[in-house]
Amino acid sequence: MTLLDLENRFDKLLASHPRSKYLNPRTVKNFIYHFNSLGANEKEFIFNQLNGYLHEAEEADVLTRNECADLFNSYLLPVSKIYERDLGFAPKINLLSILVLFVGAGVPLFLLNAPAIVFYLLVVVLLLYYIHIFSKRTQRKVYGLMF
Amino acid sequence: MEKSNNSPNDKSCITNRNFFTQWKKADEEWHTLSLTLVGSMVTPIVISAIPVASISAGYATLSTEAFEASIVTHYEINLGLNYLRKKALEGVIGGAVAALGKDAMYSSTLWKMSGQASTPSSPINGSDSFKNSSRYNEGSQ
Repeated sequence: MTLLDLENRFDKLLASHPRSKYLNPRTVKNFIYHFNSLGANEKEFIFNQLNGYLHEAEEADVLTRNECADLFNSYLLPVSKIYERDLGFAPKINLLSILVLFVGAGVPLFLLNAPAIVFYLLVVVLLLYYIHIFSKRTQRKVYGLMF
Repeated sequence: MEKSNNSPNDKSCITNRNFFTQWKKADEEWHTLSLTLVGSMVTPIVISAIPVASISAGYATLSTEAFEASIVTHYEINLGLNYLRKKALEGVIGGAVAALGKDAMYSSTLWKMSGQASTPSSPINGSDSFKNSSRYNEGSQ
């Protein structure tokens, strides 16, 4: 089986599934897109993982939300760590998550009477982080659950 | 009226200002402490008072999309914080290694320079090309 076969199988699965986002479509597509940039040792492991992921997804009649999360954790997360180490992949993040992070970090800082500069720094760091992820997204080097 | 630096009025003014600063600081500290105390007392009571059924009911009112968005947000924040922590650690270690490397390079450059300075072929002791130059032979002529 080649990578092209794997991609075709995945496309067929996406077309047949009612909620295709449970199959993490863009994450898998990004992994396939950058597959040839990896080393030989990693390629074998990643191919097996993607094949296993597809096999499990095909076996399930209708993939539920929890099954999707389980499959992501057992097959795609180990693969993502390799892509992160070797090709500079990053976990996808959206503005809502950035906002939650700001509130989560801001409330304890407020209670501790932190000076205003700390809040400005927090905003700058989070903004830079978002821009970094955005640039990764344009390079197709992101992964994420239900993405 | 001319101001005198040593007048008793000025001293009391400084004392009052110091007292005000201290009082303000104490007030801020008390503000933080009281908020933390009240929060730490009230939060467990509020949490224990909420019945599990109402939490489930709250979730039930969420649409599938909103519930999935909350899961994805939670997951993204976990992965994102891990990623940021790793990058920060890499930055610190990378910075330390770069600083050490720069230091080592600087030392080696100094070492080479000192080596050149003490070798007989260096211009300080007089290299062959320097010895053959007109400037070296100026004195002997």
